Amino acid sequence: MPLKPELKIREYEVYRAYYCGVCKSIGKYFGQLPRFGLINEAASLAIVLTCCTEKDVRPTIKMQKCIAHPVRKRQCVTSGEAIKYAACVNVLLEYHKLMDSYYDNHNIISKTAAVSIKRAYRKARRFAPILCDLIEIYMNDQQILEKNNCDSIDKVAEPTAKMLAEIFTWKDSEYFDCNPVLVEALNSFGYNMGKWIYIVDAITDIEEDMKKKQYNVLLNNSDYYKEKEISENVIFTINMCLANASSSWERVKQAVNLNENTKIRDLFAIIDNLVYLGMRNVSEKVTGGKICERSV
Amino acid sequence: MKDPYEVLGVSEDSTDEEIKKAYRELVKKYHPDQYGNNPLSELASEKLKEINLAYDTITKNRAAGKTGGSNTYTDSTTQAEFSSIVSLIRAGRLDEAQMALESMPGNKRTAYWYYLMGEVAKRKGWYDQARQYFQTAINMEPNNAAYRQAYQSLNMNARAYHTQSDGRGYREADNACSCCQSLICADCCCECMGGDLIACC
Repeated sequence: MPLKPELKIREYEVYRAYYCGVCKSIGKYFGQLPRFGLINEAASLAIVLTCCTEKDVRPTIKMQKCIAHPVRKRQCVTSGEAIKYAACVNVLLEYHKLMDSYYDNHNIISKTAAVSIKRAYRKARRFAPILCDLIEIYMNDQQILEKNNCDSIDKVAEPTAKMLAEIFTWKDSEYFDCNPVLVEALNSFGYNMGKWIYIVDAITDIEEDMKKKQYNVLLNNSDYYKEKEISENVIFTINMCLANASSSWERVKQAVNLNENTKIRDLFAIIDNLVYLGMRNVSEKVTGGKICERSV
Repeated sequence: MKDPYEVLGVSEDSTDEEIKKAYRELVKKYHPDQYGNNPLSELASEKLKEINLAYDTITKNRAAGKTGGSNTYTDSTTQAEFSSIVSLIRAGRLDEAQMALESMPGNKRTAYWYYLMGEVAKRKGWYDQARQYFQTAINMEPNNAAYRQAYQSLNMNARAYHTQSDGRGYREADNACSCCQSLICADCCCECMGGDLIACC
């Protein structure tokens, strides 16, 4: 997520319009229920992919009302393949997250929620069959690694990293630019983002996993976590992910022709904020400021 | 690994569009759903994996070709038996390079071997492993400048990110953030009741 205080108001409005747009698209194409599990990152995904799609499929912003904000009309992105795709990704991930939580904790609520969005999941599957299969493969790999108590960050974060890489390269799209430089840059952007997300989540969950004696890669290896401290080694990998995600993002920007559309500048600025400020902010929060110390 | 172009049934000089088209058609053809519970479905999903890998490899190679590759590393110490592996790494064929390296017997695992493993890991995005391999290479040959440089270049990347981030006005945003969030929260509450606290939101 971008770091909101550092966004211009204009950019913030655009960001929110995408957020609303994704939420509405979920309702429009896949069903009302999955809207409750809206993932923040879906808006950012929609923005990145909108930058990369051809001009004629870029969405328009309109003022609309919605359930969550019934009184005042808000800016909302109303069309666009990238928005629909982000909504689809949201549904797919939401479903897997619920099923995971059911398998891990035998949580009946999660199971019920998963069943309730099964129909939406099937619709999403029809919209993005390639991605859906790949996600299933990677989710399965992830479970196997965790079951076998994997003790390497690289190995255990690989499925998530690959999955995000697949999500960003949008193989199901007919509209998508197939310029290999762009595809490679998005692939690398997604990969590093995915790895970063996995590690940041692992750090966030560390105390809870310790209490409940659940799997956490950091607890499995004293190279990563010792005497209640996250080690330099983990910080190193986080820094590498940040560095490579940002350089891939720069390559994405270069591959997309800037002159074509000036509106795209706001979209770039939002993702710049996400990459350079938002991700750093989260990294510093979870590591207690250690990322910052090292940079000096 | 099979030749990726052969897998997709295209020639090396096909355009990017043709390759993507061939890829999409093959994916449709081998989609496991079409086979239901038929024993063929497993075969189809294997094939699907192969097609995906081939497509990814081609895109990666082509991207490397168009941007002129990113060969930053020096190989003044290249040893003859490693030269084919070095060219695999250069061509971005990392899985093959890794397999070739891993198949070498223990007595050939010199500092240079660890250094190349580190290069492969770095390019694959396995940073934790890359760090370990580079450190081993340095420990084995502390005086080799190339190994040190490889390790330091990793840290330099990270520093570049922080410089960029500082340049964009990054600061400890804790207070500012919570203040804004509570404002936005208050704004949402007001709006639900029909009023508005912040006019623009």
